Amino acid sequence: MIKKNIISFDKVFFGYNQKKILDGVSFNLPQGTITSVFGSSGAGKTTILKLISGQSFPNSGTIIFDKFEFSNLGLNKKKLYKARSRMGLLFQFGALFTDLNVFDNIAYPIRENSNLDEESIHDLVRIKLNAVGLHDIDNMMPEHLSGGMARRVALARSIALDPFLLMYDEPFTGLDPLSVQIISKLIKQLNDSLGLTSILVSHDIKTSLEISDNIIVLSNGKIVCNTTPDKIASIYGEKFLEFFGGFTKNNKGKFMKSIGLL
Amino acid sequence: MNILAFKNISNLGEEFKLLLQLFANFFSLRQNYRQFVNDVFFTGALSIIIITISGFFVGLVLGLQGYETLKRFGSTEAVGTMVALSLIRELGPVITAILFSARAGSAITAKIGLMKSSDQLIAMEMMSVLPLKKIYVPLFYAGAISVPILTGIFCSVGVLGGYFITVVILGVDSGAFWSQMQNSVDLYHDILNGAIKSVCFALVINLIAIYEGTISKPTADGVSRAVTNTVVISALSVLAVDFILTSFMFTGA
Repeated sequence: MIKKNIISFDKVFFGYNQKKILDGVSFNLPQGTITSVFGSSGAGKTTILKLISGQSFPNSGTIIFDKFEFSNLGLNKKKLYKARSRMGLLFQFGALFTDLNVFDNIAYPIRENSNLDEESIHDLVRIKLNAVGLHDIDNMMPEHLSGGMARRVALARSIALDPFLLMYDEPFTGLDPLSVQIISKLIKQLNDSLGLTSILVSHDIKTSLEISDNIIVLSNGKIVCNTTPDKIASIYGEKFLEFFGGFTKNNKGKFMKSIGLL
Repeated sequence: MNILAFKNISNLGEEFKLLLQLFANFFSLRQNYRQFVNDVFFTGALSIIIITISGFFVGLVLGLQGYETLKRFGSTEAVGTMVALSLIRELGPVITAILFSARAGSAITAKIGLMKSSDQLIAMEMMSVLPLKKIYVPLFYAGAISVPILTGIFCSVGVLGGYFITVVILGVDSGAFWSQMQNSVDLYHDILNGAIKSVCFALVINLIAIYEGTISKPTADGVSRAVTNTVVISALSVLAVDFILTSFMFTGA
């Protein structure tokens, strides 16, 4: 069965101050899939998330998200906010509101975008916290949460409005190995159970490969690889997965050079 | 030099644009009244201690200096008038505004700068919430309410300081102190103009504080520079605006 595309990039160019960041990028994100975007620092990974979320607009080319088209003309605020209410973004370090406790952080988007009574909001927050495996931390302030917990609370907040696209900006950065495992399982679990479509920008290639359906590799603003994790080994050599599995001495081949990691 | 001049003019344009947006979104306070009340506490109530202590000492110094000067002319009873008029017309609004910019203005800039550097402002926009309505407008008008009240506190405590040093310590007649003050302080010409000054100062300080927060670089150094800019630019702007307002309000009176 052919899956509907939630996001379509068509020949997207983006740059500023004469610096080219994305150079004619085209790809689709099929519904229900998890796509990981790899590339060296400055390759344009986070720019893709900024373009999808309307924080920036392409210089040329189009991005279609659901019924919304983002082009160099921008999008009026009303439409942009309507589009954003259908997407969630997990920031690199969570971006929790430091003046609000856990409960109020998760309730914030619900209060701002609905007219639900406090009782219903309370129930919804409880459901979202359960979905990320957290309990009894309603009154804790963000500064008292561990890195992994803060990331999970931020995840609960980003699914508060039941989005159908979830974006993750470096979700594993700064976490201990156990928390990385918990977050990666959650990403997969939430994607499957809530019927989401996810796009993941990460440097943790091994963990991302384990949960992704598609892989996009960026180099110098262009897509050099758009395939599935099982095919990537045959394209770039059998040692590829081993390499990302921890055997860092064996393979310093073409692929690594192309993505600028060497 | 040209680039610097262009940057400053461009900043002024941006600030004016922000000011218009803040005025245009005044009615969004209705939806954000809780935030507004919190911000009145954040900017106003938390400044009361510094304002009260400063007001008392300024009153003491004014009383002492005034007494020593007026003694030469044999009119020490007029010290109450001198203390009150100096405080209400000039020192009260100006010193309160400068202290407010150092205490609350810097806090506003730091708050917005840190929210920016920790992605909280973008997170808010991702939830379809405008930081302008949710953060900036309540802070802006909270300051406009707080500063006149703080100025009133500053002047009142200052007068008490003046009373303490001149009447209690130096022996000026209490009745003369109060009656001369009552006779010379005019409700509209002095108190209302002082209040207008303090509102104008509050708007200037809050505008600068919010603007500096929004343009701060998302780094520790960037936020600290923005806070410094807020205090320096606010203090200078208050003095400049004070001169302009005084030239309209009190000349020829």
